[in-house]
Amino acid sequence: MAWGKLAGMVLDAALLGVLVILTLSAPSKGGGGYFDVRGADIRGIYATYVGTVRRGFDAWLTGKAAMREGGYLNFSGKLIYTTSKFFILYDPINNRTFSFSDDFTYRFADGIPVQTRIYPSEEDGYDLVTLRLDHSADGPEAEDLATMCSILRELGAVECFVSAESGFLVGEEYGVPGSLVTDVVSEEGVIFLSKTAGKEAVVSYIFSPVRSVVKAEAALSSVMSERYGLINHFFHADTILVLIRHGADVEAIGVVASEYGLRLVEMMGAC
Amino acid sequence: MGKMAAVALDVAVIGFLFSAAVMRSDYEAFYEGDIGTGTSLAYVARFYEDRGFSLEGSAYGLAHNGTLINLSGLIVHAHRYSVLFGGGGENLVVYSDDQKLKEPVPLELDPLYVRVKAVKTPNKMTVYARPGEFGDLGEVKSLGQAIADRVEEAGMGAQVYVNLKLVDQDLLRGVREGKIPIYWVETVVNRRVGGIVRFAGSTDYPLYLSFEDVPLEDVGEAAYVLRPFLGNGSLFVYDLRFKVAIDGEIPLDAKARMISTIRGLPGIDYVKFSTAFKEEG
Repeated sequence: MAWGKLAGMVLDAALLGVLVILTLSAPSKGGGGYFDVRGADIRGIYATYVGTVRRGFDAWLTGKAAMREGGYLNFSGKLIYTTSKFFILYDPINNRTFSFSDDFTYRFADGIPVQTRIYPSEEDGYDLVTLRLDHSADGPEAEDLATMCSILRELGAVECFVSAESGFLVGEEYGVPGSLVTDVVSEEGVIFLSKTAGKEAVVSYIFSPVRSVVKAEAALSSVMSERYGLINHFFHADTILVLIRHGADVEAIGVVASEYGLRLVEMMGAC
Repeated sequence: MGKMAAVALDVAVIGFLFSAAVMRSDYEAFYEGDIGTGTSLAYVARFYEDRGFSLEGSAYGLAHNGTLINLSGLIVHAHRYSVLFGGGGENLVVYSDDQKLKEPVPLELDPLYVRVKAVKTPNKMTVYARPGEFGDLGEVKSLGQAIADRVEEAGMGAQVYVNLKLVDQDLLRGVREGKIPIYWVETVVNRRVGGIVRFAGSTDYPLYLSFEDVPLEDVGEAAYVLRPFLGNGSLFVYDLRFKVAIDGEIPLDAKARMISTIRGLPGIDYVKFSTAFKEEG
């Protein structure tokens, strides 16, 4: 019986020890814990990001990546967008965004992560504000968005990302080659899907910097006009996400956006 | 000690059997977990839909425009590789990773986590309307709103989804003559509305424009986008069905009242209640 009691106490102590270790190692609000992702496990980073943001935290990433142009980069920044195939990070030190994927198939991918640490934090100094096109409104053109974003920068915005569609209807009998559209748009490092059929070409920009979209649009319009007899060009932007510094005047941002037919719908991030 | 242990074991076994019986009688199938492909979810949804179940639950992830989606609702319809997940006036398409590029691109959800259960509550109402001429899509929306109002008058809440096929000769002629960009129209309409709107037929010879499970609130948006491309004449609309997902169980008197008042609306053919929005034909 004494041995039995001793065995029971040892088991209890072991269980208690495991519980203590699990509790202390769990990431907590401002507790300094992190998730360690080895290799290019983009899906794991995606899942961790969604889980983190849903709980009202921000996600700060540090790590190392193999870069397209060669060499390695030690990165540190705010995770602002991710799918199961790639993610986008804003690096405040370099004041630019980086795109990482698990291979270089995506032409906009800057590198492949080798190791990533994700730190859920209560406040990382940045937030994402969502602007959505008003019901039954035509929406701003790309150049108008660029003007709006310049104004927003003075109110504390860092970068504007747009999801938009661009359509071209041409007179050329054989239409536009899809590969040409891909090549032209890829030069600007945007995330996009494109479709060409008949005399149409449609480009869907996904969470891309507004200034890059403006350049891509200008390049495409030029090619379509010079070579394919452009008949009509359409542009439709329904969602703009604005990366802002914490403490920026969100109300003023909403007012500026409303002048362009957009309304502020939500803010993502710890606040 | 031996007797006490035996009694304790008997109590545990009886308790377990009782719990199992209770759980069995309340059994509802669950599908839960990380979604690597919408194909699995679509398969499960179609499996249960064919057997008269609806799948209700929640889905979350990131939309492709970067916004976080956290949706509670029901699977309005399942295709081969994707499902239309509706809730609160929104209708999102949950795609498989591989298939999303082949469909028009609505506000799509890159599915991360979906949790649904199969339920067999007869609170799905389908209202069938006769084919006919409508002045514009606003008139279609008004008819749908009248249906929603009748449900509300019966003391229930509901979400209405519009299904139809639309023929506008000016629109179709414009596409055939290369004056109207068919893909552009599809892309932008689907960007602004839930459900799926697309041309049927070839790009050179489209036959009609179809609306599939478009939330009633979004019909106005679709009308706004299509406005420059539609002609000034009336629209011929056929295969017009309103799927009405009613909140909770429906008392018999409320059901009778709904059938009576909705059938009395102009253009309505008949009303059917079911446990799932099962596609016919």
